[in-house]
Amino acid sequence: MKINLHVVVGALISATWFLGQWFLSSVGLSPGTSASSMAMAAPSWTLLTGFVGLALGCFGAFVVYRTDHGRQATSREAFAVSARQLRQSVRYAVAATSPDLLNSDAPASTLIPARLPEEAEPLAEALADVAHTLEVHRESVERERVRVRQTLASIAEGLIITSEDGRVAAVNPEAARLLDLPGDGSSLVGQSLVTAVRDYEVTETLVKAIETRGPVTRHVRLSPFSTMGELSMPRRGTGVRIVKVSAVPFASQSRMPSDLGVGASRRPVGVGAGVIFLEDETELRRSESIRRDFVANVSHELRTPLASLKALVETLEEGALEDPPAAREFLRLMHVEVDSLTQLVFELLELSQIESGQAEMEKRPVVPISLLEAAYRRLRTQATRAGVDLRMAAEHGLPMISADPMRVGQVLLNLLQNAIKFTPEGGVVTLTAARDGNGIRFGVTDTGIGISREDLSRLFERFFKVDRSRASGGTGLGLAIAKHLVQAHGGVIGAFSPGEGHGSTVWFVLPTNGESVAPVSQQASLASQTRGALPSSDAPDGIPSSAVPGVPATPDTP
Amino acid sequence: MALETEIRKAYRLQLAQLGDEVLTMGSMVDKALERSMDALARRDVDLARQVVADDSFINAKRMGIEEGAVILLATQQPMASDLRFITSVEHIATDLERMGDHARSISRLCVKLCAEPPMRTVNEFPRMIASCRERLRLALDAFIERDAEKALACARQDVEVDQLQDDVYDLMLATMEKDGSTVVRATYLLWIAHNLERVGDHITNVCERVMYLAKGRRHELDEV
Repeated sequence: MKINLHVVVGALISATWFLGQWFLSSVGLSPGTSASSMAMAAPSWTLLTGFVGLALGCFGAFVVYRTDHGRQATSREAFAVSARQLRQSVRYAVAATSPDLLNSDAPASTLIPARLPEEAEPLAEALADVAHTLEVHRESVERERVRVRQTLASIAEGLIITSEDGRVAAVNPEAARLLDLPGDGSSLVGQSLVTAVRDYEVTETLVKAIETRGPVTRHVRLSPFSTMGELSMPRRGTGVRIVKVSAVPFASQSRMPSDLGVGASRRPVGVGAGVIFLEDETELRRSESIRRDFVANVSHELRTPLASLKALVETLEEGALEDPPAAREFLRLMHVEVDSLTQLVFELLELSQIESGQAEMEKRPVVPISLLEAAYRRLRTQATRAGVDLRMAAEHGLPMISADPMRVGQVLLNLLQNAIKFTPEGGVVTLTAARDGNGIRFGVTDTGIGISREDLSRLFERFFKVDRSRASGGTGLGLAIAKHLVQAHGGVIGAFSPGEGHGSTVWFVLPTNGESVAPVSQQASLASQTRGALPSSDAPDGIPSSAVPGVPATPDTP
Repeated sequence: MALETEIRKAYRLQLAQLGDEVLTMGSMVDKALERSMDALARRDVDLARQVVADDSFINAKRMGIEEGAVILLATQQPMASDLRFITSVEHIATDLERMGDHARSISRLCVKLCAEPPMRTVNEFPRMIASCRERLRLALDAFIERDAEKALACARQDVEVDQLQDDVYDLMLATMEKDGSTVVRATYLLWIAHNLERVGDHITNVCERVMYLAKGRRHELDEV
């Protein structure tokens, strides 16, 4: 127990008074007492008064002590409170100025205590000002953040922003789609770029941009696991994608150390702050490829009859003109070539019109059997001449379809002509029609030369000819036109063959409701044809399929 | 104290970079595999030759990773999980490099096949390559996440590629028996199937390393 100063002082006062009394009484100067009477009574009286004095002194000291102690306690408590609040204030100030505040939902002003001691008022006011300013800034930053997020989401290009430590700072949904990242890509923020993207060519583009301190662009081929070959690309979002990757470094780069001994090879990891743009050029490349192939094919198809014409003219000039029978024969051949050119130009124009949607379809309710009969009647003579047995087999009571009878008739004629052309003498060509889901399935089955799996996948391409020698004539556009006409009716077209030498079937399904078909039997029937089938609705024109010792590129079912 | 913290930070960064390098190498191998099969599918000799040439980059990447791992071992003397991580990285890089070699072999066979007339398609190849690529991705995910369960699941899928290789073997044998002129081409295709099967085995090795990394014990996953 601590000895209190007040108690000591009180005790000293009492002791002094007691000693004074004792001294006075001992020298006989005590007031109101005689020396003789004092001789006996002096010690007890003196002691009594001394004790009383001591008691009074102690009481006084106690009173003084209590009063003073109370005051001191109050002062100490107040001091402790203000110190605590001050400490708290400092904590708040630190918290208020820390970057975490920007991520906190609580307004900055709530971090400042409402009541502070007088001494801390200026600090409180200053902190309140800081808090207010921060709140304003925070709101502005939050607004900006939302705006940036919305802008990123609305950009048609894919976009990835990286921070100086090479981590992903932002990804927009288009980038997530192109790179097959999970969700909208936001879950990847904070990961290293290579962990997030998993494509070294994309990462390398940014590394090069940072190294050269300028924009770098390259084309990257992205292939998901389930597809092979450039041919399976038409379905957006699932096939192989050709993506233009452009990377731009941010101006101030305090690069993360890339020379830590790791990655001393040609491709370092030194990713820093920058932005990567991703542009899907798949369709563009596909269109370019189609156009290139188309021009090459047209040139070839035009050159062949033109070369024949030139040779015939030269022969005539060199003297054949003087030989009337030979001249007549040459003129006949020239006529054939000119017809061929005319047919080619006509079909090209027609295909172009159908593809661009300019060809008008005069749809009306049509009885399917009437379409079969019309085609049968027109080609019966030709079939007989070729020694082919042309048959017709249609289901009874077929519902009407909404179609342009002339166009559908054109498709049937084309398929029939092909079948007759490629069926040897003595063979059979059968024209069929039957219900299939919500449509009518038309088919032309022959016992002809059949189609290999490789050829099946390319059958509906423009200028594709099964007959490589081209001895059978034709422009190679007939089936491409048929495909577009069927698609213009909301239908699907396809072909299958058990193999070369075993005949083939080309079919198409047209909807009965005039909208689009969802045939049910084609998959089942095609599945049983293990040697392949190809509906053409997804097969791109002009892009070669995989004629491979290896891998088929197109699916067996639509 | 501050210096120590900085050294620690740099060390952590080096470890993270080592992991990133493995992912980068994984992406290079994935593309090499995909391109080798694409070259085969499209009879694209140029693409096949490109895959063969690019294999040197995969090899260089492996050397870089190995060098980084050795420097970390020598300068940081890591222990426990860090030590396991660095040694695992070395092994995984070796397996990835072997996978790259198999992609190169497939491309070389593709060049030879393209000099021959086209033969029948082999439907098993797309499934084999898809399985290998999916498993490679899964194994690298397991590596980054130190996920033993994922590694085990990935190892279990190896049986699919093995089965497909057997199918190709039967198919090619039947083709050769039927038509003697296909012997050379069918043999090339058999080698391609064998290369893909070996890729599957190397992915299983990666899974074993991930198990070791995550659990601290070695697991033989060939039999799972």
